[in-house]
Amino acid sequence: MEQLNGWFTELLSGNLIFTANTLSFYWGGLVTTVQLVFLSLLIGVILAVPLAIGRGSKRRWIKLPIYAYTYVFRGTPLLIQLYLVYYGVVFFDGIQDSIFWVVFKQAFFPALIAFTLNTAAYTTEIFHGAIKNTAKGEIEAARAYGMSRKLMMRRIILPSAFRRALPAYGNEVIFMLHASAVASVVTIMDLTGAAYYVYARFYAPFQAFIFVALIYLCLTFSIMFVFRRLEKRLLAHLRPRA
Amino acid sequence: MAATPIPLEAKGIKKRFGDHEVLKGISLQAQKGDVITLIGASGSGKSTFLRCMNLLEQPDEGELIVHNETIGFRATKHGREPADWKQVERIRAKLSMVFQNFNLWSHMTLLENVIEAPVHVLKKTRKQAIDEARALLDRVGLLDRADYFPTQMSGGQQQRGAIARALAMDPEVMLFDEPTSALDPELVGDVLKVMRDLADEGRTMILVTHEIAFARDVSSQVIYLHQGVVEEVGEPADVLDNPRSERLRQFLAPKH
Amino acid sequence: MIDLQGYGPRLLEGALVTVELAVLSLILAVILGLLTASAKLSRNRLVHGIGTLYTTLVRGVPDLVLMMLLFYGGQIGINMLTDQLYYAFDIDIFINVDAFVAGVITIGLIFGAYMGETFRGAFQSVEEGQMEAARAYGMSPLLAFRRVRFPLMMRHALPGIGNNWMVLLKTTALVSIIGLTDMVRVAAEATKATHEPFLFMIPVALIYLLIATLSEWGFAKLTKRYNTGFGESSEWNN
Repeated sequence: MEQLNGWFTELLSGNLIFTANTLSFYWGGLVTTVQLVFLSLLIGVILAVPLAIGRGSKRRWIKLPIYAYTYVFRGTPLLIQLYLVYYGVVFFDGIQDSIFWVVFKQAFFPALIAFTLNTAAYTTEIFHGAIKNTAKGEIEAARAYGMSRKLMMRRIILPSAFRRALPAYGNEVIFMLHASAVASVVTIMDLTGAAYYVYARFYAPFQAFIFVALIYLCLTFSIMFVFRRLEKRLLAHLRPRA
Repeated sequence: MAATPIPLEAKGIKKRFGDHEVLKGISLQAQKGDVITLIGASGSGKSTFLRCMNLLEQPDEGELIVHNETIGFRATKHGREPADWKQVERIRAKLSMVFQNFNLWSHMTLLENVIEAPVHVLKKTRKQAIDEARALLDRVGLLDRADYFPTQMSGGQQQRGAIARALAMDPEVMLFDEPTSALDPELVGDVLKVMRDLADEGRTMILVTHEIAFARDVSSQVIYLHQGVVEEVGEPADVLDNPRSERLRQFLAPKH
Repeated sequence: MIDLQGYGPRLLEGALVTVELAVLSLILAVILGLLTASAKLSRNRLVHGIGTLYTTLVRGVPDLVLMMLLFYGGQIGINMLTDQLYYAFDIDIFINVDAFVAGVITIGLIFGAYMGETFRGAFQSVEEGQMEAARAYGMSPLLAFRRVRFPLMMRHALPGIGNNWMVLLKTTALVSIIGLTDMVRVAAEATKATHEPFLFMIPVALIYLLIATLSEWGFAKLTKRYNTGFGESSEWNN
């Protein structure tokens, strides 16, 4: 450990940009980015499941508002959505006097709301497509064996739809990681924010941005790796047996 | 007579799709142990009739009685609908259907397919369901395929698996909807053998099939449908060997 | 004309910038995409490797980071280059990186990688038999490409191009961050000045929706055209 530390200091002593100080900035940025993306994806999925079911409903007053929501949030840039929530949150009457203001005056929570609404819209459409593609015969078999609508949704339709949605959802996770870079615009010190800070302070765009690009690349590859593994396990039923 | 309830009775079933009347009032009574075979050209309505019996299609008119329980209907602006879906679900659980395209749930292994409805519809314990499922898979010769997914099995294996899934419900009546039509010819025999065993052990079965020789062997009654009407009905020897109508004679004539 | 506290005309100008930027980037992306697809289908391992590296890097890094790298880094890079030219050959030039040009190049570069994947899949989906038939009837390679492979490929590529265009359109909003005065930037400035986010952001959102809706309609028409001879069969399958 001692040795490693010495080696590290030696490595860092040669350059002026990647000091322990700036590295801690990048580390903080990484933590913020991962928190922001993970939380918005998590809440987004929880919202997307009932929305996707409602999106396929026969009742127009259920499916039309959901379709309008996904259409608007998928048809406009995340940056606009972020600006709207970030600058718009003060317009909620009394929010500045409420206890929630402690969290909302930080940029993190408006950003989390905007990201969550955005990813929930995309995820809703991904799940909706997967649900719609459930084999008719499998649904018929479920009905023929006396399953109620609810049971059928829980045991047959959703488990098979989630599996089919996995590759598209993996892309959405990567998309969200990349899109989260706009958080830096509303004063959040995420990875991109940290990189911009380092760039501005040392006027060193190549070092600052290539370094952060490499971190994003590592994150992207990790996500891809995890989803490959998941697909391998959960989509086993689509592959011929060796 | 009244002591043993009739497993399944359909009276005057009518069904139309748009302007086209597919079933023009068909009746059938399955006593315990009966094997009733529905034959007819494609479009004669035989599959629709079968699907009306477990309400995968809603009959527009007629009465269905399963094990002394009459299914209630109510009129809606879209036509007639079951009055109580809970009742329908309960009755469907007593009538297991085997489909032309097997319709095994693709995201579950064969064993999971077989225990799914017993555990979640009949509320059996998982352990009991697994024990029974393994016995059934053994019976249809697929115990070694228990952990396979449907796409990893041949059509014949899938259909035998689907029959095991149907048996796991311990059904009052088994409904077979052209169970061998989607199979390669060399795989048909295994499936028919399993079905013959079921007939021999006294299962009540209603089946739609094109396998005339098999129908002659196992049926207690053969019904010939033509354009939504029962054209001939009776014991296989009567209907299949001494057809009265020219149409049935032509239908039974060897195809070239 | 809606005034929007005096920001109306500027917002419209911004909208025009957005559309110009999107269209020019799309053209660049299609050209790069075709080149990338050819590179990735090439048997030359170096060319193939470059194509793969390009698409992997672009798809692994956020658009905004690439944009900042190219915009902020590009200026310094060009300055270094012109300095070299001055010392070595006494050529004195100064090139200022224009935000619009930087925007077109970055977005074009990013979506060139995505288009590359789209075109690669589309090229591969053209049956060789179709090209064989073209050759058998004496078509030159160029004629066969133009009359047979390209139209057949477009049928497979169109949905992908449409998707990429929709994403590209929204990505143009990012140029507002590096200082280009598109409609998002105008709206952001107006919001900061007046504290009226809804007044400015919602119209901008609506313009994006309008462009997206029009594009969708346009692509539906194009798809119909390129699906000639395939539409009927797909109807049968339904």
